[in-house]
Amino acid sequence: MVLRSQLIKKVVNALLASLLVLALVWISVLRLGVSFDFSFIIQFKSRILQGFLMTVALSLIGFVLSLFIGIIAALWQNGKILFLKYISSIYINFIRGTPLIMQIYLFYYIIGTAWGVNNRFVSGVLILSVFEGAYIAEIIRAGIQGLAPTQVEAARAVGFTKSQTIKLVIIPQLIARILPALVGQFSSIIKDSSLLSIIAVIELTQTIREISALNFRLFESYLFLGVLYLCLTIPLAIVGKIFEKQFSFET
Amino acid sequence: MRITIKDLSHSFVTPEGKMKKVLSHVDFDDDISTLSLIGPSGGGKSTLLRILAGLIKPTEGEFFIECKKTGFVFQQNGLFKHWTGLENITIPLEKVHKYTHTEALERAEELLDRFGLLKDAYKKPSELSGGQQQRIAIARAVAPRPNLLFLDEPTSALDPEYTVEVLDMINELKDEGLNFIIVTHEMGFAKLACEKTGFLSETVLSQGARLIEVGKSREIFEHPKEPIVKNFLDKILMW
Ligand SMILES: Nc1ncnc2c1ncn2[C@@H]1O[C@H](COP(=O)(O)OP(=O)(O)OP(=O)(O)O)[C@@H](O)[C@H]1O
Ligand SMILES: [Mg+2]
Repeated sequence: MVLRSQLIKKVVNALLASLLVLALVWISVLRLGVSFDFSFIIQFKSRILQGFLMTVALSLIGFVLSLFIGIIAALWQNGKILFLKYISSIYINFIRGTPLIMQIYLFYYIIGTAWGVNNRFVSGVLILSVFEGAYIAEIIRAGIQGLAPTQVEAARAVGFTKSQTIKLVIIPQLIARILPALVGQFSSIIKDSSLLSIIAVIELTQTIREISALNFRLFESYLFLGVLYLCLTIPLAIVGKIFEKQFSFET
Repeated sequence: MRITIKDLSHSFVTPEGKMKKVLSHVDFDDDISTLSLIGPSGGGKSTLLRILAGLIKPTEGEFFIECKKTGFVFQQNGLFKHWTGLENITIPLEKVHKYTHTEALERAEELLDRFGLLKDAYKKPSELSGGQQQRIAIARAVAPRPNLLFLDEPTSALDPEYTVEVLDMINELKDEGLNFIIVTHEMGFAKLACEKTGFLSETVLSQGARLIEVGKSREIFEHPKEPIVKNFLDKILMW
């Protein structure tokens, strides 16, 4: 019975909160005095789909690459070779200390002119991966630091070899610790990829910008853009929550 | 079981980079079946136990233990957090002691059943009480049938009611012939359940602890020879 009344309480409050937000949006729209016209969605559906897929591709490839970069940077930073430690340190601090938009302009210029990479998609993915890799390195570093030393000692006590300890104890516990944060970072990658529109990578945001420049349906276009990003990020948020629950043995 | 320790010393490097001598010229040569190590906090009991168990290397000196297989029980959080109680027992049996999965499962269930832990077998440590965790940790340590078990204050993180169930379990295993060395603050257990007791402490003269007195538990507790041991016991047994 207690559970039931709690459920009712939750549902009622969720409804109230949603209503309030909707009402605020509604009032704003009324004050703008615009009428809705979403017909552009049908009209440009293949372009929008293409942009959407481009964003998905950018994010997926970017995630895999940044994971790779992040793991290496974290290992270097936790390792014993001082030279690599400093390289990793410089990288992480520079990336985390400067805005993505500046990095995009700078790297695009460098990559494009000095290294001759003219493909916008490739440059975009590289820039995004380098940027997100620094954040992933931090997630992994924090995960490694949070591992309880008693677990490694216990591994030794039961007789595990070094490689067994890494394979059976350290890596599973590390993954459990960092997986929820990694999912969150994936979500960030999806959102951050929108900034690649400034170097004219035709991903979702750039597509919508182009469309809205044609039809001047700014409000509807960006509202729809938001919905499309939510279609990607809300499932991820749910997955992140599930992981968090599943791996709650950590705490 | 013969245990010989020869002129064993151990120093840690402190976070400030200084050397801190914890054990200083520990000597021991005796036959033991069950030994308790007592002494003031910070006196190096855990350090000595971990050295004897092979978990850390002493900085100086050597020791011999006439036995092949040992087990270790930590004060707390010794179970692997990502595995269930059952897996904590079976996986080391399979990976280290080369049991088949079925053999490991049988052995684990036999032990868990015997100590009334079967219903907790599929829970992770975070879902178990401290007492249950410690009993599973002991079950894990004895599962491969070691000749000698090391226990480092296995009850000091527990409420009194759980303390009793853990000490009961150790006592039961002892009656079956298990040898053990236990670091403990449970003076009753040291006196009544352990054949011998050793007192480990620094002295005014030495930096780093030594084994000040070792002997039959009853004698140490009732007629300690060294004044420092007598002082310690008087203080600790006052309440
Ligand atoms: N890894 C370590 N690094 C540095 N110093 C340590 C380390 N482990 C223990 N020490 C120090 O060594 C001394 C002895 O520690 P030890 O844990 O062996 O004592 P103990 O007798 O088990 O004490 P307690 O009864 O509190 O458990 C303490 O002063 C402790 O601070
Ligand atoms: Mg200790």
